Amino acid sequence: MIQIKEVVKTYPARDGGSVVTALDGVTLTINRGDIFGIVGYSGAGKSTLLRLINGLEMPTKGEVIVDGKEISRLKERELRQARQKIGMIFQHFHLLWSRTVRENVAFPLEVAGLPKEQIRKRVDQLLERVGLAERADAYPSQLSGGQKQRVGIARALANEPDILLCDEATSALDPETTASILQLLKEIHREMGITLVLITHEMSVVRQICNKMAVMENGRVVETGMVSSIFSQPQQALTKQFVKELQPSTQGDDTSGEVVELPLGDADKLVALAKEHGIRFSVVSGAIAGEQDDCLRVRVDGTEAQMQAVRQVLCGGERAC
Amino acid sequence: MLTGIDWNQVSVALGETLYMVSISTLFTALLGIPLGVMLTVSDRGYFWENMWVQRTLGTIVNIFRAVPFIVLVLFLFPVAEFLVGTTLGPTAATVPLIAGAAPFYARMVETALREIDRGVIEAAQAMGASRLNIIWKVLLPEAMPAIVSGLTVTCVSLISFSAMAGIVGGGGLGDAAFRYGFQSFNDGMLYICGLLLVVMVQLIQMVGDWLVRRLDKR
Repeated sequence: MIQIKEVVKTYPARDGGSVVTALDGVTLTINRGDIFGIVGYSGAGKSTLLRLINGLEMPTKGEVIVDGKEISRLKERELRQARQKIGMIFQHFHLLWSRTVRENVAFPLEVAGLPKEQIRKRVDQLLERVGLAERADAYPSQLSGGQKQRVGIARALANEPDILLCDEATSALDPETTASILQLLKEIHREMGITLVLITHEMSVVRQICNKMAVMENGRVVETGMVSSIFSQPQQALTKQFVKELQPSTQGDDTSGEVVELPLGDADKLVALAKEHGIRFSVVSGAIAGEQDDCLRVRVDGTEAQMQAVRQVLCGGERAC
Repeated sequence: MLTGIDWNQVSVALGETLYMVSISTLFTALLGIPLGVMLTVSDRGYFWENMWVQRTLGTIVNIFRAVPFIVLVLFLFPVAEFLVGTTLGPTAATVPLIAGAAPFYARMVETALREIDRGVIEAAQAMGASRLNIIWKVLLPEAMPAIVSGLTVTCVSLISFSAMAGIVGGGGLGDAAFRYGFQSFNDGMLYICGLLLVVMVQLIQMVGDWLVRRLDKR
């Protein structure tokens, strides 16, 4: 769905400063239907990376391919059409305060040139979906942060996009509102099969909603993979730090032993092993999120001989699925 | 105090002032708003970046703003002959009035447009809006309260400028106050013309403020 290949993005020097490198050779693939989280501290380049996908930023080097089309090669008109199929929501919502909720949601439909009658119908549908039907004629200044973001989501979904980009979409919201917005995004993902790409500095957001993730630092992707495996086995120092931030009180015995992955279907083998060799294991994570991720992760603790047996029976290594 | 007033002269003068101010306000808006839009969108980092256009327009605007209004009046009366076919009367006076006010107002429009959060423009681009879409559907509506309040301020200064233009041949209340009042030692004429100008300013400011309040949804 989205392929980012060897992308470098630099900004020219200004006012006697030096050239700024925002992205330094980023390669990333995001599949259709993924909920892909990109985490990093501010200045890591995640915002630039997100803006490559809808062509708000163009790569200095490398290519960005969305739905088979290379974004930087599109003519202006084609780019505008492509953007109508890529929704985007923002930390500060960026609604038009001179327009009512209804008119805000109508904006992308007007831009797409739909007839008035159709716009009205579609807007009603969208507002119904995000739970704001009764606030249709309010102005953004009369709404709470969570409601504003719901308007943002309705607006982003207006042209039935294939991709939804979320730029720190919950960072300006309190925890409860964040949870409800994430819930809404999850539901929309399930209903529409939309591909979600979100950038955030909050690991909790990634854990709540994403299936895959990338960690960025200094314009590079330092680690990428399934969320569950990164959380259970962070490789890089930065990733470990992020994971630790989320779980300040990790229990001691949770980190001993080794994490093994196996297809969900092989769970019975594991049980047999445990009985036979007296191995203790605990489930780290297991999600049935569609075919891509029916994967069970268990932490196994035992003697070297026991571990050997485990490895032999279970697909022979780490990250087997 | 109000003796010796020639109401006929007053009403003619009032008509001339209203005429000068309304025509020049209209054309100031018609020129100033597009100019302000161009100054903004052609600037660095905006979606129609063109530094050549930006600098050229900026320089022209600054030249017109730097020239004292009275000099503009003297310089532009010949131009008025070319444009409107006369160098006398209120119609001729509108030419220097517009030339003085439009660049001034363009800068006010520019300031109003720059106040708009860049993120909102980015959001519109992300939705596939064209550059004209962004100007018509985002920039102008979002900045409308400031554009209107700027026009109110400009209109008020056009009233005082019209009095000045009047003295050098434009007619209007300023001219009447000066000629029939001051020079003829007729205090009544002087006061009534002054009073009418004050009332006009008050009314325009009130209407402008009311409009801005209605437009402002922030």
